[in-house]
Amino acid sequence: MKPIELHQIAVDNSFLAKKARQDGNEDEAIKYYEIAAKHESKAADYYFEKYDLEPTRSILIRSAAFLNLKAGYIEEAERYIFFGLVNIKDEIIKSELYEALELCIAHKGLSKNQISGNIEYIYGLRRKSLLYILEPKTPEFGKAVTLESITEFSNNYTKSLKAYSKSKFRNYCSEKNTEHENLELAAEKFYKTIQPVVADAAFGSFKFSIASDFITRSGETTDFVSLKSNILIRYHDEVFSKELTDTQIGDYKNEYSPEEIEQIFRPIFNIRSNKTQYRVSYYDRESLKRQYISRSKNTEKVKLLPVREVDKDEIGMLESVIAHYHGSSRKVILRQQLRSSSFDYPSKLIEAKGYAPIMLNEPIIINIEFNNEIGFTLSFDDLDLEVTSTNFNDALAQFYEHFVNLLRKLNYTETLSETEQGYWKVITKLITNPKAIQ
Amino acid sequence: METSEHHLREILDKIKGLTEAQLTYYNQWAAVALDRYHMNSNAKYIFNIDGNGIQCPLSWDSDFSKEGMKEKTDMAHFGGISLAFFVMCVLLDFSHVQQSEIGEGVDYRFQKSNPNEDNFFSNSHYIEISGLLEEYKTNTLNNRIKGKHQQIDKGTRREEASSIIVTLFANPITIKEIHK
Repeated sequence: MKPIELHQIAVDNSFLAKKARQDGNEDEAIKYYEIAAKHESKAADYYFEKYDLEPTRSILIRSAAFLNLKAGYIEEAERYIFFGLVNIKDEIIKSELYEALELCIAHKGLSKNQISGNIEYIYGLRRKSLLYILEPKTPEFGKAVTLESITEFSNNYTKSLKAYSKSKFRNYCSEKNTEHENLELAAEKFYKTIQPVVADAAFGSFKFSIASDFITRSGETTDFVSLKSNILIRYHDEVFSKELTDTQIGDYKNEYSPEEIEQIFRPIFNIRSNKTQYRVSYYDRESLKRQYISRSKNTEKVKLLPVREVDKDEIGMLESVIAHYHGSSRKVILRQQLRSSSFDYPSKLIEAKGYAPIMLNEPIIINIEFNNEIGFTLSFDDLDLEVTSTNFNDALAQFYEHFVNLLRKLNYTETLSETEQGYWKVITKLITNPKAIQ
Repeated sequence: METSEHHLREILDKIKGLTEAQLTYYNQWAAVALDRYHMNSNAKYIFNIDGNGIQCPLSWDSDFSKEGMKEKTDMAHFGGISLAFFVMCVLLDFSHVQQSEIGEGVDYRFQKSNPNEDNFFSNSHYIEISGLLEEYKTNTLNNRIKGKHQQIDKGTRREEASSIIVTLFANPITIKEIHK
């Protein structure tokens, strides 16, 4: 048989395999892929030494590698991959062969059926995935990002995504008029099913793509699968990557309840905080350009997030109990031996020892983290201020002192650095005549 | 410019290199996508081929079971392939299509004459295909076309004869732009 005929049989069977898999006939799919792989391999073998028959030679070697992989023949696939990597000049084909090699390594040791099904699933995930990049704020370990940063990003991202999913599930039920004896329990169940899966990862900064499961599991309707499989992309487009303009904040406040806002957006503010040791970027699915997630500002926080305030008595109690507040309802829902807690302290007055109180044009939200080992850490991202003390009042006094010291330093400095110019911009918004404070 | 009426099934007679089952499969996905926006299995369709606009009545077959054809991504993807084939083979007289397997799908290259038996991918026109059901925020036809040009530019296919064919089913319109 001529190579062109062998190739034709291979592509026809590959089509039948895809269709069989789509129809749920897994055994048929593998059978067709096996036929396709065998024919494409024979065709590709003919071209190994035919250097003058480009581009057919390179295209068929790549095709044989992928069809063998999809049929679950790892060793055969590797034969074409290694040959191609050494002998093919086309850069695109080489990069696709590297991708195939990565999949071969990941699937070694699995059964033929497992490999074939998994490969298709991974490609399905990748097609629906979002590519994020974490890089260190300052290159302490070259461009490598610490595991702690990855954990911090992942915790906040997942928390926010899940809260968003829960909110969308409630909308979905009300749009579909789906009866649920207990909607909150059902939303909670949906919340647990949303598990972003890592579809790809690479070192050099930390590049990784994540996607939502798209398989129809037992008892799931088409609409439900569509909701769950698109939730990650919707979350990214509608929430995670959005600039927080006044209009956008207004839209969010109309769409979500204060409790939902707290659960969805607080973790995003944590990711966008100046305090994090990493910067986040992503590849836009449409423009294919890399976009950075902007740092958050105090004004955005003040406008969007409900303030999690605690009064003075409760601050005193924090050393023995942990208190969680929902929105501004100030309802204590959990008390336990204190390990850590986080709340807000809005302040419109800066009262530093030895200086006249400074009235601010708008309140600043001081973030307070309590940890039973080190005490209270007060921070304000916009000015990179952070102080820690075991006593809350001492910490607050120190915070005000640092604020005034920074203000005075900026007043005395003739040429401000880029960072200092950023601080000055924040200060001139907060204080009408900052130059008057010497 | 208005031209004579066409039917999507014309591609079945015009293309060599794909089985009838394969072409019917893509046509059915296109029909499902078009039926979402247009009544009675026909519409005034706009084809913009390398800068020249053609408007023609286009019909398609909708009489088949649509059970299991609900995934929007598949409608846009496979339906987009059908309309790209229509442009290349019915409107532009390319008669042969060559396919090859890549990671998540298939590469398509077109030829006007019988392929060279040994080097059957040579002298072919590479096509980057994309489909959109409707425009949404930044997910527009123009952005999609721009993105596809950038995608070709980034790789070694930038040196090959190539085009981008993007379909927007809601309008309905299919745009072909030569990349090189």
